[in-house]
Amino acid sequence: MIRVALAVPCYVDQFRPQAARATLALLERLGCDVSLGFDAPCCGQPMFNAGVVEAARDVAAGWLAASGAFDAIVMPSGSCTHHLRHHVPALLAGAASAHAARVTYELCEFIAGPLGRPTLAGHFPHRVAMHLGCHARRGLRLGGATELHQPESGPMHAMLGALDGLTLVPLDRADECCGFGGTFAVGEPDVSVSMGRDKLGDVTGHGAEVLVSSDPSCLLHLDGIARHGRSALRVMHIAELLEEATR
Amino acid sequence: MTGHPAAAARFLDDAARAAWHDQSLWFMRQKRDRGSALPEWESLRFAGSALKAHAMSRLADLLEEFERRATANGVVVHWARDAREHNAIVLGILRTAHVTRVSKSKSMLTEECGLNPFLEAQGIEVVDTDLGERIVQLAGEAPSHIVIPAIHWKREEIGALFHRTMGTPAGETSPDALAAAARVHLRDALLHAGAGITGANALVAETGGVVVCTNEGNADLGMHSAPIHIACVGIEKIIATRDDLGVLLRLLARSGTGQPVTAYTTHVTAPRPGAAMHVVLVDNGRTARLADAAMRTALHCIRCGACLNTCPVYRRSGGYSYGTVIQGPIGAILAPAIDLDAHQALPYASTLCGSCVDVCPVRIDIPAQLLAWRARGAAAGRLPRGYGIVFEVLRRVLGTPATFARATRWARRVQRLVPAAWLSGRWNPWTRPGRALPVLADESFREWARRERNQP
Amino acid sequence: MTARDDVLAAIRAADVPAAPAASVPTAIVDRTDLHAAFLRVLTVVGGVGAVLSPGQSVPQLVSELLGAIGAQAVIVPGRFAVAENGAVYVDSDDVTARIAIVLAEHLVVVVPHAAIVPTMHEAVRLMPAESRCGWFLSGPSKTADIEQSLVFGAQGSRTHCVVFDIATGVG
Repeated sequence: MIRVALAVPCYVDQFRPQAARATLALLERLGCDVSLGFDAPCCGQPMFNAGVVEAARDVAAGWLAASGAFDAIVMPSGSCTHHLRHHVPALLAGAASAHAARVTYELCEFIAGPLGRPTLAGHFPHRVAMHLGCHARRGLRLGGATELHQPESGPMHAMLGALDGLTLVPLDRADECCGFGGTFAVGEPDVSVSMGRDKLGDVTGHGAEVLVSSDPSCLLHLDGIARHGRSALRVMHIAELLEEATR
Repeated sequence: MTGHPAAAARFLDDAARAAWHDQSLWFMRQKRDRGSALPEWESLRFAGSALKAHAMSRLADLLEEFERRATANGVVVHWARDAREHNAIVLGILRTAHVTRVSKSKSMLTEECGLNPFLEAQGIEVVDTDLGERIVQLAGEAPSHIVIPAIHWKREEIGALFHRTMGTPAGETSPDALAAAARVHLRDALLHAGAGITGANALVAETGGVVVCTNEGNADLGMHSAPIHIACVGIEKIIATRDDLGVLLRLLARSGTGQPVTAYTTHVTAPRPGAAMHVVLVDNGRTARLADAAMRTALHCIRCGACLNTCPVYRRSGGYSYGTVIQGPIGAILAPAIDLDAHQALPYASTLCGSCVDVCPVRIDIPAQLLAWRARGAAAGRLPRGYGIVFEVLRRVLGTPATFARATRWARRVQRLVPAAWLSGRWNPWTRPGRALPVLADESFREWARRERNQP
Repeated sequence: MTARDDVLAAIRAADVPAAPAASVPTAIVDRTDLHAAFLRVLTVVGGVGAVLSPGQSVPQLVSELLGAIGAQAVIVPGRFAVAENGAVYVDSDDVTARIAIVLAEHLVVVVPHAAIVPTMHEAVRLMPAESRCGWFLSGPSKTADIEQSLVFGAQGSRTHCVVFDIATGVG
């Protein structure tokens, strides 16, 4: 049995706890011994991206202290994983950040990699559009980049593609940013919402019923725009979708 | 709001036009994707990055080598510390030869130095000869894109402008007819200029050559017809060898427009018989940038425009929203070095999506430098308004599990007591443009885990 | 201190760490029929071209390719062609005046049949060392500055024609 800690980012804990519960249920269903003993609120990404480096360092230090006890940590967030792997080691150089960078995984990455389950058996009879957050796609390279002439690929794409009844709808601009961008969402609100609307237009324009992402931060933003427009689109985190499909 | 966010909001007020702008540039991005689909594309980008890093590491030697060869070929090489010196050198050359009218092909450096207004104030007429640049010049504007200066102009507007300035028939909107009128207008200006000013896409130390790329042929018409050719070039444009030039030329047009190469690629090492050729080498902040290890690679930029075309923010905010000579992601990391106070908002005009790095032909890590500029701005007390307080509060809230639990319990109480409409007022940037507030769950994950899983 | 001294001193003071020279990547291209590849790209960039048949003269082929305007065309020799981008290299030593290259409304470049390389990597090495001015010309003058509509004949040549001459290479 693989032992793994579930690390729940601050905003998932508060705004989308169902994604964390789904992650837990899914990992246990896949035979993991999941520890809930990881207790740090935030990796410090919001401060770091805003340029407030000292605060980012303070908050990340708490996260690293919590990381030390575990050999594998799963996060239902591509962007937080990216921050830990690519920014924190420079921010807080040392063994603790190197350890956290090595043992922290984004959920799909963990299931396909260390768990060795590139696809899961399940059933999800819906038209689904996939949105991979930019930090997962271009930062962690968990998806293809059209800039690099790569076809769509990666663990989330493979898992969705293998589910019974699921139709993955192609998008015109599959790897275009949704416009969240952390503080960008409030610092540049008009551009942010314009990008989000375009993303949703692409998704619903292709007849998707469900929008799924491995990044709850993108979902926070896209869901807000969808709710404002009273859209019938169902916005889901990948953990929620996989948990529902494999019940 | 001020600065880029405010300008972007104004740009987005005309939603149809903003969508058209976005789609025009996305079309360029798609042309770039098709044009750059070579099996060895990624190794070419690595070579592009390496040849620039090499040139920067030997910059002084290469400039001296270039100068030696160019001088031996009869080219006069000038050096300018800054924009003022650059403009004075150009003026001096023109004054000595009694030139009152010059043609100028595209040169972002001369835009940076403000050469046009400077010369015009001295009574010298400057005709920008790139069609896009001529359009914005006739309209009294600056380019809104480094490669496609009039990307924000619609054909009907260009038709009206040409009707007013060139006497084309009223209501003419056909690109063929408008370009034909511009051809006559520009050829006349080009062939009657006392000097032809050009920029340069590269200087090759090994050959002493100035390399100029255009599609229209306007740089050649200017430099080969006038008795004087002046090439105004930033010192970072130097490359070591002709092999490097081969790599650069394979990358440049494919990245910018998706073409395999520009229609005209001119490699000129010497003036034609009876004519004069000058090269003005300009620093204007480049050596300071070179000394700044974290930001140095911004000097590698070959001005292809690919990062502008791919940037979802540039596409939806327009070139003028940046308030800089170079727009888009690359502009957002170049401008703060010139004036951090004036351009502190630009490093924030990005979602850090990373598309710009992946299209960059010389692999400049633009997001890393955007982050570095944000951090420098913050350290210098120039955070965007409100960020200081927000992040100090966040630092405390997120400091320990206990503070986080306390603060979020309090926030949920506020959410229950305060009507949603109050929280979604005009003052709230999250909701104002049409985005519902995220809802705090009744029970956080940690609370659920404590209840269901007996977590401490 | 002159501006030159100041700039060079500032560069040296910047103390940029050494970085090795770039190596030229290997182009992965089909080298079986470079002429066909060249002509394919030439068409895409708005040019026309053909290989001269035995016994056929350059003017004959030009008039076949361009029709009546062929008679007004300015014919210049090109040193070599580049298959990947449809470009031909013309050196100023081979033309009466540099301006002719862009002033000509209709330009014909005659290139020796054997003088063709796959990519710019080989092409830059063929540029004559003593050249005072040279051009890679790929198709006619063009602009897309008006709503990105492609218009040929922006300011330079309206027509761009490349002829591969098997016999002498020079028209």
